[in-house]
Amino acid sequence: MPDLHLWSTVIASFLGSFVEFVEALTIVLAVGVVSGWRAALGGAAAAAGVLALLIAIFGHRLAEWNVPAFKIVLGTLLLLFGLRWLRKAVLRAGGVLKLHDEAAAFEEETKELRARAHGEGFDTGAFLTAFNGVFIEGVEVVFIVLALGIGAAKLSQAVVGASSAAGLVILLGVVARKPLTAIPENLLKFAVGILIASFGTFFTGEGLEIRWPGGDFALLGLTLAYTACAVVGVRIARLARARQEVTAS
Amino acid sequence: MKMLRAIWDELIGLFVDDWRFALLLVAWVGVGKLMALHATGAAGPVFFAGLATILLAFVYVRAAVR
Repeated sequence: MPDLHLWSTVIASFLGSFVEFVEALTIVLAVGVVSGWRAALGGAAAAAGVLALLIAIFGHRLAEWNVPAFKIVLGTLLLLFGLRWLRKAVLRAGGVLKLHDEAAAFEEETKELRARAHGEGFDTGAFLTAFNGVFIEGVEVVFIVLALGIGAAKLSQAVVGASSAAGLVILLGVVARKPLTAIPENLLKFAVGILIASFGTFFTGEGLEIRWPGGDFALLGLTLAYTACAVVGVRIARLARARQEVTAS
Repeated sequence: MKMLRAIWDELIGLFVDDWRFALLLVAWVGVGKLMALHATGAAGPVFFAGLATILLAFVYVRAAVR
């Protein structure tokens, strides 16, 4: 019998981290292009080090708290995280919110950096921008890894998923040397929202002592159910938007 | 200081971008706990249905008030 938790943890961790790393790469590239690669890579490496330390410190300590109350808290945080992400993705797909555009984010970042760039020497501001960008996006990765890894008792596998995503994004960044605009980021965010909301629902349910029909396979059912729900949500958003446009005109 | 503030905002922003949405989700989990949802026959599907309803309601509200 396939270990559903294992594969779904690796896939969710990989996809969720991949999306965040693509956004972090855009910031690092912008800093590198405008202020030099020393500040960009130095800031990114420092942030990655702090984040790895956070996972090392908190990962195994939190994993030992295997009590229902902790599972409810963890599941609820995943629910809030996943459903916030899914709601945004549905609104984007329904045309209510603007789609995320890495090229536009890169333009904006380089414009800001050029405005406050100074001449010679090490640019501390640029270093901090790279650190900040990678750290902020990375905090989401840390949350995804810890929450999925601890909830499913597959912390190492969640780390493997996130590390693979980091490796792939770095490789693509080195090869492309520009923001990864060809990545279907909005579609990925849609999928990640569905996966994390499913995990959140499953873990919270376990914390509430709900017996899921089909055991672990309920996770697959939840993923399908959330997919259907999201498709309905996109339809609702489009209809509401169309009705509003008719009223306005 | 500005950076710490940005990190704090980002941490909160991980879970909440609309307080009403977040509070309703937490309230539904609370209802599940207080009403001993696990004791009912179809606890899992009922729990999911509540969450899906909240999600769809907030999608509609956001799209309709655009």
